[in-house]
Amino acid sequence: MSERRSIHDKLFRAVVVMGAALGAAACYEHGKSPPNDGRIADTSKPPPGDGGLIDTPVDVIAIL
Amino acid sequence: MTELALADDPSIARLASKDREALAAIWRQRAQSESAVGNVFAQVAGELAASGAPAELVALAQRAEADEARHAAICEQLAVAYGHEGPPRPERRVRLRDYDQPTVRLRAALHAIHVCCISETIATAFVEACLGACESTVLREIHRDHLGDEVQHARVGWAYVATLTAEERTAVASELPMLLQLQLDAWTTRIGDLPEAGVPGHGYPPRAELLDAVHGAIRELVLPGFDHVGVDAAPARAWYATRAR
Repeated sequence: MSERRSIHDKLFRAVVVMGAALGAAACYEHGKSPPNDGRIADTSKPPPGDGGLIDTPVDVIAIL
Repeated sequence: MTELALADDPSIARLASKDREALAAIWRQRAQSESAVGNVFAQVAGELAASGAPAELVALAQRAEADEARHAAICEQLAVAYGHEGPPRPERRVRLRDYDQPTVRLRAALHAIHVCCISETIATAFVEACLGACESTVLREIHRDHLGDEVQHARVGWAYVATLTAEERTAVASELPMLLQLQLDAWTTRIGDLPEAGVPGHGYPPRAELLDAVHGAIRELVLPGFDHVGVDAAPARAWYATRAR
């Protein structure tokens, strides 16, 4: 196995496997199935949580 | 990491001026990008809370927002250490666009997939590649800390997808090609702006190596990740087959 492949295997376990387990555990601890909220999102205004600031909508954010 | 530690780094003094200037500009750009990602994590945290996501996941997204602000400050210090002068660029707050009037939960899911499952997951492989190109202890510490944070940030998305219903997973699967294309184009464009040969020892391997890291992450982390959480990745794989290196 190449060194790169080995690193990706470690990252897969740390990121995907651990992340998914975290979500499953959080649902289990809440003692309920995931909420099934079928409300239509009001996309005419910024979603809650950003203090109501007017932000510039973008398609993608480059991390680097 | 301290400003003093960076300023005293002898490897910076040994750089050719063109490399030093390139790195100063790169880190200044990175500072702005990290700040923008922080904006998006604030958006994702709000959307997760509104969608009824478990409080632990909301808290992780909020922590990511704070992490990105810290990363932006570190990138700014690096820009100055490499010789950048002048005040930081004025910040512009950004948010991810919405897609086709999804439900509250689907909007949260698509944005979490966009920034966490795809972008931050690719970032883990990118930063890992950069870590291998660091010579100084200070730079290695910065990249190692950054890598640890990227792992945490990526987990937010995979955790949230794990809470989706079967119907919701089917709905997000059809959007994966569009999200993957946006991300791959963004990463490819930005890497294209970096020095072709990289800056050995200073956290930037050659462009080709960085592109390999991005494509390797898509093939071996992102697409198998969707398989792992029960989201059909076949449409995304079919699209990616047209762009694979």
